[in-house]
Amino acid sequence: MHSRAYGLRETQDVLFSYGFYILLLVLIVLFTFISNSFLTVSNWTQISIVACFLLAASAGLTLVMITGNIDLSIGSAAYLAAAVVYLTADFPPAVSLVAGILVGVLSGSVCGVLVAYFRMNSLLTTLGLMIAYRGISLVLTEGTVRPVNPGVKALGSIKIFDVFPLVFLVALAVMIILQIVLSSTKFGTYCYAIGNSESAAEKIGIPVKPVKLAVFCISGACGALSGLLSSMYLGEVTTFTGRGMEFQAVAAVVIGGTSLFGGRGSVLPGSLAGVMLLIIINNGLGTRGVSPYVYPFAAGAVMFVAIYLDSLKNMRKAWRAR
Amino acid sequence: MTETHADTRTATQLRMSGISKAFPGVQALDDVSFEARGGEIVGLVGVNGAGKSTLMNVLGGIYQPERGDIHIDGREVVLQSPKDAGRHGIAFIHQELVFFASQTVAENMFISNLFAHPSLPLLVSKKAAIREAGKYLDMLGSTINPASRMEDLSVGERQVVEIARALAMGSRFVILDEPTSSLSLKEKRILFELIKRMKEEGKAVIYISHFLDEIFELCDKYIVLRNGRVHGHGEVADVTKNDIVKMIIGREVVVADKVNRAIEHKPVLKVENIRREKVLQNVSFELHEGEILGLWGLMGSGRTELVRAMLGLDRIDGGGIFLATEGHLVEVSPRQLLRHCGYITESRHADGLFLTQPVWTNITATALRAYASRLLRFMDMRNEIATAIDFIKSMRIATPGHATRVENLSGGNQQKVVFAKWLNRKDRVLIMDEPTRGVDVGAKLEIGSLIRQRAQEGTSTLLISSEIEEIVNLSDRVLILKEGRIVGDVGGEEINNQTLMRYALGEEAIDAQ
Repeated sequence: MHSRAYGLRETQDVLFSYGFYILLLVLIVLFTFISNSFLTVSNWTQISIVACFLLAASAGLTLVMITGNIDLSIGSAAYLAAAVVYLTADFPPAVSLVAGILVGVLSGSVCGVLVAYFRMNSLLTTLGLMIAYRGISLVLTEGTVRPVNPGVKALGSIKIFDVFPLVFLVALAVMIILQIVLSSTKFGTYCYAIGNSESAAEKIGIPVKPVKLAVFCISGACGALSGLLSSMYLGEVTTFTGRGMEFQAVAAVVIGGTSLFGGRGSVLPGSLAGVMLLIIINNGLGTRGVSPYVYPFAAGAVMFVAIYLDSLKNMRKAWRAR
Repeated sequence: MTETHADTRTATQLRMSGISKAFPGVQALDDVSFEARGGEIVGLVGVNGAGKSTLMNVLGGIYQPERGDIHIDGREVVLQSPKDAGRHGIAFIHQELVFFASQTVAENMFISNLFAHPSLPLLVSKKAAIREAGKYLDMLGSTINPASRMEDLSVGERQVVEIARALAMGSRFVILDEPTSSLSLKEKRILFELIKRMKEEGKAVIYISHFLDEIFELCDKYIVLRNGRVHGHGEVADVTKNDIVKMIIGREVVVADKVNRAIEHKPVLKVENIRREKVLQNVSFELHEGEILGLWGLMGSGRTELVRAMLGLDRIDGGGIFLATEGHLVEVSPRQLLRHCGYITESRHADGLFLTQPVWTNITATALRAYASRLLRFMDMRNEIATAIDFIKSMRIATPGHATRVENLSGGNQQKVVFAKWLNRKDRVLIMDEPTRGVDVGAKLEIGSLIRQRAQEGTSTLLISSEIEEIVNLSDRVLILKEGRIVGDVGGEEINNQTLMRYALGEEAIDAQ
């Protein structure tokens, strides 16, 4: 009897740990059955394009959240970078792209300095900067739709082997790199340590402030990358660039298992799966012809399930530790 | 300068001389000198607030002293930060362990000097860290898996990891601050073995403890601090416990002689067959009016678990609780019981106080209704403050004022605030879990007499303590718990160390000795 009870507990553990991946799988299977056009190459190419903006942004955000902070300015950083691409439209595409990323690093470094060195709360700081950066971008673009350099636009339509969009592969590459940084470098180890206990990290001699500054720079760069990808793909800069993306990204990262309190989480597979879940819900419902007004509700419901599973898991842990 | 020809045995040497450190309103350290040599264990003793922690924080690089200097191996060093201290071979193992919960044992041990990957630049080698961590854990005779996460280890195991970390960093001076306060008996034995092994390896161990037993078992030397000054030091072998106690509190210990009181058989609270899988096995008892009922057992016997289950803080699998209401015992749910009795929790920091709030709001927090207006429940703050001031006076809570934040009081005074909070509600039943943990000898005596005084006035008390003297001195009757069941119920003359230990360990253990 004892062993059976143990076996049950093990099963529950697996369910709680991987519940969200199971949910993702179930959704894919479900959509495959209810929609003929869901599991097709062209649809998945479409999914990968739609996902890439959020993938890029959430990759950097994951690092910030692992250190126990949050960055709400990434959507506006995306718009700012896109605005820079418009301003540099007369230069070669490479200049636009490098300038865009640099602007992202710069905007991230402002968050980083305020949070790390001025000890400001990251939620409020980045909320303020979110508004400010969007304002700057609106000034730069004069609040209207602006074209980008045709060379930049051409990049957006490249597909490797005719299937994999370049924009998606770039986002994926960034995720892979950041995951390696997290799991196998000193810097990554420090990120987790700071998220676990900032005071302990300080006591032990970890350069807490520089690390925090760096994660915000990375996050800013990732936000900017997202804006660049969107300007490549759309061939223009609209005032909608990056709007609301910060909240979608936070949702995706949290669904992907990164703790809001820091110290735990991953880019791969965590945030990748979190983003895919959100995108697939929209896409699956779309291929079935469901009204787009239903999507936010469905996405919200899935988020609650994912976060509830996570809190159940933590409760069980606390319960057992007793 | 005055350096003598150091022989190899005393090569490692640490000397702090004339250290002074003041905080606003307190001279925490006043001209304190301290010495530790390799191959010896120095016990640092003193009541809370005597300056032990401040002294060690100076050595750990956390505080900078105003005066005085520190020499290591005869050379003067300046310790500006914990990192500096680490560089000079000083490891500080704090009472509340400092660790990174979600990370592995190996990462925790080597976080300040991770291993580079052998072939890939910029990356770190997790394998190497795990291998090295395993080496040091093996040296300590531990079976902890270096790849497991810190959060999955017990408190004792985490401490072993900290010690392994100190070894791995090549520390020659290891400070242990109250290391046994949350360890089980077995873990304590393991820890003592490790400490002795460090001594044999020529390290200097500085051992801070409240428990004189531990000092006498473990230490070669002692140093007593009182009010920031040294009040005695020397070889442990030359003194008795009583000598040290005198140095600690500066006066003869007054052992409160206990009067055996006759307790009327008038049950106030009755617990019947409370069960919880693996933790509690059919526990039943009665608590009478005005009685102090001790609950004794070794670590892990289920003392705290019993109380938590009774009060509905943990689930129960069965059993009933009855509370006297107008002279009759009426069955109540655990949650209802929680509303009708005061509960002094094990940890005042975690769930006993609102640390960032002033003293007065803490004191009135349990009885807010009594201060609220009938209409719209406006609070009568003047009345609240008056109550708080009464308590501060009658309980002699040492605080600059009623508006001081509780976090700024010393441990003993914080605990008095916890008491005041519950006494203010005038419950008939008080449940106390470790009411004097981490408070100094003086406050301990005061709290003891407070508990007794309330009992005289008719309050029934359920007292849990891991200090056997406290149970023996205060209780009218003692229940002994072992493995989640009551194995003994003793009263009167029978309440003494031997009897309680015999029940708690079980007869077999006694025979085996």
